[in-house]
Amino acid sequence: MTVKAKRAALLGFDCAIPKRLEALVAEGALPNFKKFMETGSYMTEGYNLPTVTPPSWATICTGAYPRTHGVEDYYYYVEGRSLEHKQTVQAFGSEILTAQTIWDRWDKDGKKCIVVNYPMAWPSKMKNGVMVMGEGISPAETRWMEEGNAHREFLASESVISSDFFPMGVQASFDKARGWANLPECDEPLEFTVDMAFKESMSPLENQTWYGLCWESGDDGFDTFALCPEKDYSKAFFTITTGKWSAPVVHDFTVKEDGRNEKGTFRCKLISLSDDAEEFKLYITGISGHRGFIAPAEAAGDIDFSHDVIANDIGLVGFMHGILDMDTVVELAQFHSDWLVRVASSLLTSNADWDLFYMHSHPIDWFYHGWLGDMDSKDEEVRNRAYDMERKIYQIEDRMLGKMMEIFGDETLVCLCSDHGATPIGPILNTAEALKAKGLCHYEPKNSENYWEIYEETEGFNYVLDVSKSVAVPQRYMFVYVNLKDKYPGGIVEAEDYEKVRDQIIDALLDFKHPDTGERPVLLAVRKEDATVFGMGGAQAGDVVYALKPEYMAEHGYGFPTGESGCGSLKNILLFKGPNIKKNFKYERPRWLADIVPTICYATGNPIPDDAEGGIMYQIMEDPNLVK
Amino acid sequence: MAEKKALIVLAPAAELGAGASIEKLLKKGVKFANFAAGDVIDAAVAAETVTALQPQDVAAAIENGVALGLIDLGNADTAALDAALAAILDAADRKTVIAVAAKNALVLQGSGINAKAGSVDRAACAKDIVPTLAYITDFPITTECCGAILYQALKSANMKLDETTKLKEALIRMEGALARDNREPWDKHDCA
Repeated sequence: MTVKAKRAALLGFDCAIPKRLEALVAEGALPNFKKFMETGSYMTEGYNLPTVTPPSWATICTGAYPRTHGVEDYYYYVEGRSLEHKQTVQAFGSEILTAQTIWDRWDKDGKKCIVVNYPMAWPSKMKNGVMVMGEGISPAETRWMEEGNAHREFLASESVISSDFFPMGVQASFDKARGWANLPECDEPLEFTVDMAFKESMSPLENQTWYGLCWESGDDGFDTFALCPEKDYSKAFFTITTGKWSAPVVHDFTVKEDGRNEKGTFRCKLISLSDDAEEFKLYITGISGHRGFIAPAEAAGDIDFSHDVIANDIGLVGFMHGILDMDTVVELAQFHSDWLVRVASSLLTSNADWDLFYMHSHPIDWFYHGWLGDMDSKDEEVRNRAYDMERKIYQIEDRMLGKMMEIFGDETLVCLCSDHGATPIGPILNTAEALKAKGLCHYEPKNSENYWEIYEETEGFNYVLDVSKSVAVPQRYMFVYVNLKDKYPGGIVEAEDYEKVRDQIIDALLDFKHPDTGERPVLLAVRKEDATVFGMGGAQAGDVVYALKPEYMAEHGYGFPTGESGCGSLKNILLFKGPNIKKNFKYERPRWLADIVPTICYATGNPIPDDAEGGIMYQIMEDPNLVK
Repeated sequence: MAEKKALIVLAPAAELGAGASIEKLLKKGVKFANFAAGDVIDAAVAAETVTALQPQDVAAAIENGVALGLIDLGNADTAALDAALAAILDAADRKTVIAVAAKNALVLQGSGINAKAGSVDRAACAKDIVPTLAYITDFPITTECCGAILYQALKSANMKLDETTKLKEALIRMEGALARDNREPWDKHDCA
């Protein structure tokens, strides 16, 4: 008799690339993934479109294609706004989903579902389950309705206190320590005082005055540092030396709007301290909140938040701003993973009767956005350093997998997946330029004496698109809109000219030759209704949907999942393991992310969500005939 | 950020002898034993740039952001110099550089000075003090200034180049942050 899985768990590794996973498994770096492959089924040809986070994760939790679940891009076009790209918002959270999730369907049947850090999940609609906020790419943050790359988090984002100037944090310098209580035994300690502002908070926090203290432990210069909430060393948050992390600190932070105190956990690393204390850099992780991001709220009581920090974005922005080095980013990735494992294991332990578990983890995606280009560098040292870091990031995820598998046990159907892959950045296609060449789009290079705009020119942000003079407006990653007069603010195209303009857009895109290569960068350009064939073309799609050749990608989001370029690939990973799943089985036919939910439901005998469209992956089952 | 300040202590009659404050000065100072005393200011700096101070006024002057303070101790002997230095060193903050021009030596100590240099062999003269301090703390000098910068006393001989490089790097970081906030759909993204 076929044994059905008693429950199901899905671990999502954002941007994990099949061929990179295979290479790292082959070199023996990932024992838990290796074991999973040997005892489960691995599908090599992972398809989905578009190859970007929000729509893919929406598919993975609904079993529906983007045209159906309503999320077709990283950004979301808000009806009534101008078509200008900068007015779109980040597409995260459950409010924009137009398809039912697997956990909402199972919850309806009284099942207990636990959902942790899943990008399209928050706010929760479940009655029986537990959800840890996923409304962005990191736990306890929101990106929904935020423009550009803005986010807000519980309680605040990372910072730095330094003698140098950075685009975040506070600049400070040491002076003689005066008026302190309980100073350590030392000669001439130094101090700084900073007005700490806490940025990107879910609810704005009151500033706090913090005091730094440093001294010489011997006679070879300043080497020891303490951060204190007041001028009393006995109350120091921590004492550390150069290159070291502090232990986690739990501290009270005051919310401006109502004066309530919220507990937050943070850690600091003394990245540098010169022997004369003239140069120093103290990195402060984000302040990780203890409540407000879990539903039901009382479920937070099952978790001890005093040991771990979320480390939102694993320090990628800190690295880009010149604050952090690669080793510190890896350390932050481990902190991030530790937070997820503690939260997940606590909830699974205190809800032992769980039926479904969904969790998303983002470090691999952050890594590729930061260092995929280095992996294709012609400089061997740069390339080796990037490959070494890639290995460390995957190993963090491998350790997480090992810990989670111990919790899941043998009676659980476990799915491991990614949402998309990535390819190194290539020559960028400026879609507006292609449209302008055919007179469809009005944009002009900036011609300004404005100081900052001159800098923007050097980075390629060198044009102004005038929507009110454009019949075609490029928006988001794969869309061009016909700027209809009766539909969009500033629109200029009459309704009867819609098809004519649409054909002109398609011709303009297909005819365009990239100035750097002389070749056509557009792989495909079709009417939105034609895009329904590959799962797109819904209400959130533009009037023309186009895709780029992989070598013209800006890592992912614009191309077909079959795209390969350099060391990268746009395919996603998919593995299953558990009762009735074939062992050491490799399935090499294409399959789509929409197939995951139907397969989980079928294999566990649970109800299928109302809008699921994918197919069941019968071929990975020992006995596919479960309905007899 | 606190502005940098310079203090010049003139003690042409005082030997750099024994004394707790002199010892403290020398401990983290650079000593030019081959020093030719003379007119330190000598029109190298405009009169309005210089603030004449008494030792007991130094703390308040530093608090008020004095650019260049001149403490002329006249005929002070070693003991009087030591007493004056006690007040001056206590008042000086980390952004202050001090030049003590004594009878038998010049000592530089404080911001920008290499505290581990100890004693320097090269010759120094009174005219070198103003351009050296101006190089460190950025107060304006005149075209009458004809002294040399005492690079051997500095933490870095390329102090200004280092400062400029750091500012350029900071500007690039700020520029990168601005550019990241101004992306178009076809530009590289780094979120998800």
